[in-house]
Amino acid sequence: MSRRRGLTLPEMLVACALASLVLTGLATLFVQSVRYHRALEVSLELQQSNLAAMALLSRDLSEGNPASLRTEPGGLVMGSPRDLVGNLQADSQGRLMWRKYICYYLAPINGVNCLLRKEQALPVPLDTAPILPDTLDVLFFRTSATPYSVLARNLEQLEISGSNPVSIRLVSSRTVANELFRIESRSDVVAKN
Amino acid sequence: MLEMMVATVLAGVILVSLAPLLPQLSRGAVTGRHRMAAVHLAQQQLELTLSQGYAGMSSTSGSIVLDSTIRDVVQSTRYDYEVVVADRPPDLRSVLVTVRWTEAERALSEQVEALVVSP
Repeated sequence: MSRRRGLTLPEMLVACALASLVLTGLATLFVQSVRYHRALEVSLELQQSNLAAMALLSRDLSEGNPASLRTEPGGLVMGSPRDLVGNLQADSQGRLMWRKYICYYLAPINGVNCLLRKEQALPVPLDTAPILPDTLDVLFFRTSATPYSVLARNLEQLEISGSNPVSIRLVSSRTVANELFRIESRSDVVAKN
Repeated sequence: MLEMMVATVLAGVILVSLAPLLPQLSRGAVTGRHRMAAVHLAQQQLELTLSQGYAGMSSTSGSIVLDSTIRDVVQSTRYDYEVVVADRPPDLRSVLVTVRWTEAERALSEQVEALVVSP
């Protein structure tokens, strides 16, 4: 008749201590990986949105003219040679025709700061960059009924400085679970027209 | 006692062999984030160029500095992009976007290309 020996109390205690150490390590690893995944997700979303806004803003400014640019805190208005569809056109002498005004400004949409863009056609196309009338400022576009497009969400700052090159600075930020995520992009653009 | 020592030595060997992987994993994560940003940038430049239409597409270049702050750690990277529009007879145009950046003294790049047929 065989007798099987069981575990002693010290052996059980050591086994429990080791198991709890391993489980604590695994739990920490799991929590860290969840936090890392969240950080990656939020920062990529901010980055994508910020870069998309920067790409469009850079293109519009590169096609513009410093004489036709007005910057204000949190916004800008500029002339553009593209029509409302997005096409460039020249007159019979090959001169580029200026077709519309573009305005970028920051405004909250459903409690989230966004970068908005509005366009307005010039009454008559011009063969030189339009000088912006005093009344055509960011406030005019803010209050106009012109439809807007949302370029970026969670955008906190838009800064435009310099004349040619024009320096652009966009800052996006978002707080998730008490953690602040911030993306800042900067670019210098030379206005070609 | 002997069993314990063998187990400890084995565990030690395993841990020591895994240790060099940690910096590599960390570098891989950083490179992955840079690559993701570069691909975003390249795709956006490609979309902007394509939106100009077949006749209006033109080559361009520029740079964007991106500062990411996550948990008070700031990481700054400069991305240089170049858009090259080339004719491919008889009726095609290629748009090649290259984004370059430097990471730990390594020059890295990403490319995105599209072909456009004449309307």
